[in-house]
Amino acid sequence: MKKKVLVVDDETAFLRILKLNLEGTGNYEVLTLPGAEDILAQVRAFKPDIILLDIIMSGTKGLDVCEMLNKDPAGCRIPIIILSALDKAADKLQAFKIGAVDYLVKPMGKEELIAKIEKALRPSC
Amino acid sequence: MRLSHKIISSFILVITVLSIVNIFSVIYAINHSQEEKLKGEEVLFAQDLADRFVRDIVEDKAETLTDTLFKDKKLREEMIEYILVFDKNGYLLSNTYLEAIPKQLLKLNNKFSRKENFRLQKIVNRKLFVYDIAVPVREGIEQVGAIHIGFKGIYILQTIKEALAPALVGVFFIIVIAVLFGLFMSETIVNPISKLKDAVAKIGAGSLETRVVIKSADEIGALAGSFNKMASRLEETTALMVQAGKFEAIGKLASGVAHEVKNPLGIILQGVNYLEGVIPPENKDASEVFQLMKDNIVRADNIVRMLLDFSRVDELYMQPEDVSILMDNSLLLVQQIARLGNIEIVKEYQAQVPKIMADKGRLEQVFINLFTNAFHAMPGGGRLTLRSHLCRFADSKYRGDKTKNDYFFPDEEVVAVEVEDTGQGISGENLKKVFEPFFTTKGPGKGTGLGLSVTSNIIKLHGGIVEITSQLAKGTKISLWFKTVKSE
Repeated sequence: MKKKVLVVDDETAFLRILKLNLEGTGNYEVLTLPGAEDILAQVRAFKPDIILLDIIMSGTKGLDVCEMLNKDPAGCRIPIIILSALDKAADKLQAFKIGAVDYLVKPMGKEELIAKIEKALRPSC
Repeated sequence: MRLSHKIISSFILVITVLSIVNIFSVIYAINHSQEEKLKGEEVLFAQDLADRFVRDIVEDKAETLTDTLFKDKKLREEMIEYILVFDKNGYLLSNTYLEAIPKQLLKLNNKFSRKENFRLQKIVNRKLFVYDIAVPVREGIEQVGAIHIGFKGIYILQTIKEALAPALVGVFFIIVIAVLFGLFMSETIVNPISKLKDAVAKIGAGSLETRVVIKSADEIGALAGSFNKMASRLEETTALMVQAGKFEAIGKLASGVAHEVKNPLGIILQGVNYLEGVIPPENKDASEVFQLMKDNIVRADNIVRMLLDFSRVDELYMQPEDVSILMDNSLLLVQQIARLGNIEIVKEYQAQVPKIMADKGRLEQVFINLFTNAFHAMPGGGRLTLRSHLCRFADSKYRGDKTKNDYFFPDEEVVAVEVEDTGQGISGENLKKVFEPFFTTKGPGKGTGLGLSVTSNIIKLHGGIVEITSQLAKGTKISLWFKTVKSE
C-alpha cells in the first residue's frame, strides 16, 4: 500500500517536482499544499503517514504548524520532517524541540529525501 | 593670512614702531642738546658782543657797530643768520642785513628785567627759521640796548641729520635682521606646522598612509612623532575595521541571500533528479550533463555555506580537543588526493601536547581547507609537513608584536601548529591579500576566494592567531597558535 505524504511549502515549483519525484517511485501518494492555513482540515481529510514541512513560508510559519499538529489528536502521531534553506544549528535545535523527527537542508537530493522519509516511516521496535 | 606672513609682518611692525620711537627720541635729544649749547656757549658769545658794543651803543656809533658786526658774522657765516643791535629805546641801531630786514625782527621784544640775562626763542615762518638769542646790553645796572643773534635753524637741522644718518642705517639693518629672523622662524616653526596641516588635510581626505618628516628635538618634532603614531594607529584600525566590515557585510548578505538561493537550488536539484529518472541511463551524454549539473549545484551551495560561516560567531561548540588528532582526521579525507598528486606527508607532532578548546567540525574544516590549498600549490608533487608543539608565546615564531597582543600574554604557553608545503609560494603582494574575502589566484570557478578568510575567521573565533609566510618557488607556511585548555 502506498504511503501518504503531505508536503507543505510555499515554493510551488518545488512542490510540483517533489510530487513527480516521490510519486515516480510508485511508493507514495503525495498531496501538496502551498500554505499551511487550513492544514488541520487537510490532515484530517488526507490522513498522511508523514508530513514534509518548510519552516520559512510567507504565511503561517512552519514551526507554528509543527507545534499545532503536535497538539492535535489527529496530527500528533504523524512524523514531521522539516525542509529548510536554513542550516543554523539553532534552527535545527528549535525544530527538534517542538517535535520534528528530522531536518533536511535545501538543496537536498531525491535519494537523500527518500532515505529520510523511509527512516521516519520505519516502525520502531 | 598665512602664519609665516603674520610672524614676519608683526616683527616688522614692532621693529618699525620701536625704531620710529627711537628716532624721535634721538631727534629730541639732539635738539635739546643743541638748545643747551645755544643757551651756554652762544649766550656767552652774545654777552661778549654786548660788552664790546656797550660804548658804541651809548655813543650811538652806528657805522662802527655795523663794521664790527659784519666782521663778527663773517667769522661764523655758516651758523649765524643775523646780528641785530638795538638802542635803549628799542630802535634798530645796526644790523647785518644788506637788503631789507624782515619786518618781524623789528617787533622783537627788547625789554629785559634786571634778573633776565638772555632769551632764546625759535622763529619759524616762510622766510626765516632761526633760533634767536637776545641779550641785554647794560652799562652798570642800566639797560642801554639789546643784541639779537639769529642762529640758522638749518644748521641745527643739519646736525640732527648727521647724527640721525647712522641711526637710520641701524634701523634699516634691524628691519633686515627682523625679516631674516622672521623667515628663520617661519622655517623652523611655520613650515613644520604647515607640513602637519597638509598631512592632517590629506589624512582627512582619506590618504591614511600620509606621514610627516620633521627632524627636530623640540615640541614640534614631538608633535610630528605623535602625529605619525596616531596616523599609523588610524591606518591599522581602519584596515581592521574595513576587514571586519567586509566580514560583517558578507555575513549579513549571506544570511539574507542564503534562503533565497538555497530554495531555487533545491528545486533545481529535485528537477535534475526527476530528469535522471525519465532519461534512459543508456544516454551517456545526458548522464554526464546531469552529473555536471549536480556538481555545480553543490558548488553553489558550498559558496553560500561558506558565506554563512562568516555570520556564525555564536555557534561554536567548544570542547577540549587534541589538535594533532583533528589534523589526522582532516588528513584522512584528503589523503587520497595527496597520494594521487605524489605528495609526501610528514608529521612532526610533539608528544603530549595539551588539548585546546575547539569546535571539532569547524577546525577540521580549517585543516581540510589548508591541506587542499597546499596540494593546489604543489601540482607536480612535493612535501606537506604538519607540526604541533607547545611553547611560550614569547618564544614563538609569531612575527607580530608579541608583547602587545589581544590574544596571548608573552609568558603564556600556547599550542603552535604549522602546515608547510614545498609548493610554488605566494608573491609578497598577494600574501597581503590572502585573508581578504573573495581574493583568489585560482582560475574562475576553481576557488571561491573564501577559504583562507573563513579559516582566519574561525581561528579568531577560537581565540587564536593565524599567520602566513611564503617564499616564491620554495613554499608556504601557515602558522596557528591556540590557547591551551589549562589557560582557558
